[in-house]
Amino acid sequence: MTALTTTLTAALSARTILIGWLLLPFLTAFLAAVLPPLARWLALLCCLATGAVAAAIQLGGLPPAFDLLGDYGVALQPDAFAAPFLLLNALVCGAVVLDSWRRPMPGPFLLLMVLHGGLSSAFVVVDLISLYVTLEVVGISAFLLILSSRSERSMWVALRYLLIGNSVMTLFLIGAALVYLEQGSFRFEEVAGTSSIAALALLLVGLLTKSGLFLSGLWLPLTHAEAPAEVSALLSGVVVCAGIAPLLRLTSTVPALGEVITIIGLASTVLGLLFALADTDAKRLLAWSTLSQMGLVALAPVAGGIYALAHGLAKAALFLVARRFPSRALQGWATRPLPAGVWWPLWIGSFSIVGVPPLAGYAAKSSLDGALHGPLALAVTLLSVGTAAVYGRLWGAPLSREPQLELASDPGTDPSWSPGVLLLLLALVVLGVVALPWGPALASATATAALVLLGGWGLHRLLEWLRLRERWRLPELERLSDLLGGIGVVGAGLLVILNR
Amino acid sequence: MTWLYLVAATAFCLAPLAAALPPAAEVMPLISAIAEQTDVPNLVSGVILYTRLYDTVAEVVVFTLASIGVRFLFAGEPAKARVRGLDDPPSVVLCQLSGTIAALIGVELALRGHLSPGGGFAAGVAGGTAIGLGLISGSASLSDRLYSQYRADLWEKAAVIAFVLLAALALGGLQLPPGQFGSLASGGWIPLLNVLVAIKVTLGSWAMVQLFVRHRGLL
Amino acid sequence: MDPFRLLELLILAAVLASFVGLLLRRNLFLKVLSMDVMGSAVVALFVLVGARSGLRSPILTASGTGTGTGVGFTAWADPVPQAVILTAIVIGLSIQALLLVVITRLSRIDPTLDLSSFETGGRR
Repeated sequence: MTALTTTLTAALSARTILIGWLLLPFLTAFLAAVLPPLARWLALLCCLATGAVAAAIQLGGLPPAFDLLGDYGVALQPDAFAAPFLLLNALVCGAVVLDSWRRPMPGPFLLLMVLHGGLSSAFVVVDLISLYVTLEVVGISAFLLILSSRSERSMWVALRYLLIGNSVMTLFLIGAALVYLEQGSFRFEEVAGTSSIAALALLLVGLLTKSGLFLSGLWLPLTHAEAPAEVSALLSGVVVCAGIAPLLRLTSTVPALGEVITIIGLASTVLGLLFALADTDAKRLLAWSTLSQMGLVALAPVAGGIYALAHGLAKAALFLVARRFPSRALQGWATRPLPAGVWWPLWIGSFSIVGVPPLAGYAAKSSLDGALHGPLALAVTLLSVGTAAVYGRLWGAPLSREPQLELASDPGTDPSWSPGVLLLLLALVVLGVVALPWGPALASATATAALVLLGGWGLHRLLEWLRLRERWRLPELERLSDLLGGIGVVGAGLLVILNR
Repeated sequence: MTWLYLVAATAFCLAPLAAALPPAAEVMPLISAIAEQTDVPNLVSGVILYTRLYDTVAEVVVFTLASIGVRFLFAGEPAKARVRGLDDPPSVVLCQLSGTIAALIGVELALRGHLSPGGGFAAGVAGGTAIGLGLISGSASLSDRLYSQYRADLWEKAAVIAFVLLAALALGGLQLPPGQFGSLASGGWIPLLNVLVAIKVTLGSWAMVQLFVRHRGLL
Repeated sequence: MDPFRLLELLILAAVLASFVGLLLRRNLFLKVLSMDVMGSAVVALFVLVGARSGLRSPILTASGTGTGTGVGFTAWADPVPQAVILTAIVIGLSIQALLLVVITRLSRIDPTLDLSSFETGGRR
């Protein structure tokens, strides 16, 4: 009898729940391949489970760190750092699943579930090899999702994505081997003890490339802009976080990395803003903005999670509605009216990314401000003006005044409001309101946001005037040889900075 | 630009040589700890299917994704009408003979993977080789028929599901009664997992090889 | 020179060669092959790291009981890097298979698989 009770307690312990949750998406993915009618519900179940685990972590109901199978096993840390990333994973994947009720998903649900499971895993593992394996799971499922249309263009984009992703992960493995050679373990905390600068540089290059940061992240705009809308939402919303979450974890474990990550973060933000301001395509603008926002996420490990959450929710919503833009060209954007189901998400999402209260983006910006100090905080505010100028390019379009047209469209086409977008916007508002400071702080926050918006709009008008007079010319950096060369340059640069 | 890239790549790739070589670590504590935990002679199998089982789950998932992906990419292609294979009797006999040997080796590697060099992945590759040899020696259409008749793709997925389930039990800490060290039925879940991986990899490589033959006309 | 260092140098030279191949080759197929060379070099590196403590394969004799004489006085190789790289080999193989299938599809656009046929740059 006692044996039975102990077995039952063991079965229901927090550990086993976590193990079950981590393996659930892989199990349901292949179950869905055998029983296709259940696929959608199983995918929803996985998202709900991840959301529940994120909530339980926040409430302190789960052990923050444990080893699977003894001292030499894989170490996991489902701690408060991972919670926002897990919530983001649950919400963005959940939104894509919800949308699939009205409109067929690109690619099978199996891929979505495997991607979801790989992402959850990437947010909690603290072992270099487990991280390598989960990042490859994420990379391959994203690759297959990108080429779900099997068009020739998507083949090329997907090939480029996987070729670069796998090459940098191979370099990452060299770094892991060097750490093991010196420390005899693959755990993150051992990385702090390594004396080999090269090992750090190799590991960082892998993670920087996966997170789409700076020169090593230049693969991102084309990939994110050319994928189907749902896949773009997944890629820009959560998949980039699979790189940046472990990067932030490593930064907080290895103090030597703090400075170089700050430099790369700022450089990435500036680079992304410049190209977003110059580009002529709406989806590419959104993708460049991801590159710049990831730079801000990298600035502070403490605020990174909430910032990535706010950005991911907003960007996923923007990419989901991007499918229904009348045209992707930014030229003449202000002359094409948008239906309400696009217009409102566009404004709410971009206001959140700029950091306007009471949206989640404001909570993220203020927690980032709290984590930074001195000139860095000022720089972030200035860069917000640039972000506002980028999104100012999308604000010109008027709201379409013809609701009849929407109703008349037959039910087979897109619904006017997609449930997934609604879920994401709701999350943005709820998370923002919960974190809102009341009293005088709110007034000053609103004033700052208003100033940023005004400055951004002014900058946008000024640039628009410049754009009319003369075409902007920025160097072409996205050829495959430049991407690969950029990886080498970032690696060599890391060596130089870390050697100081 | 290319010169800059080449210089940077050279510096980056050769940088590991700059650090001093650390002294060789003591490996005995690790060896005895793993031997004690896993209770199998082949410690590499022990690490793959016990201490680092979590990574292996992801690895199995990746391999299955690859076979699904290959199937998906070939799905839009027309099948080749004529399959080119070996047809002179000596080659056919040789292929069949070595195919049979490969299949037997596969079984051996799967069953005794925890005792001697081997393991599920190696066994699966041997099984896949056996099927590949059969395909190039004239049994392509028979193999195609068998594949669809017995729904081999579903069985592959079932093997993955069973693997993930058993892995969940093992990771959750549930243990099988320990057998005698070095006997076939020892090492807890390891032999079972090895066999499942072998089945999965055999079926997965069968699917890939079959598709290459069907859509390209030769292996 | 320490033999370990010499072997490490050779392996890193292979990594460099594959990186240069990735950079300079115009043919997509050769680019994918270069990536595979890099993967093989990493396999060699892990085997080398595993052999730092000894050369004997970590397979105990059935008579040894794990802590007794079977383990005792031999220079065992470290099983962890070997096991880890086995995982990485399988993943590398899967990726290789997928990329090669995509390349067979792309070869219908341009049978010579020259990079410039696919690269329209960032702009559409």
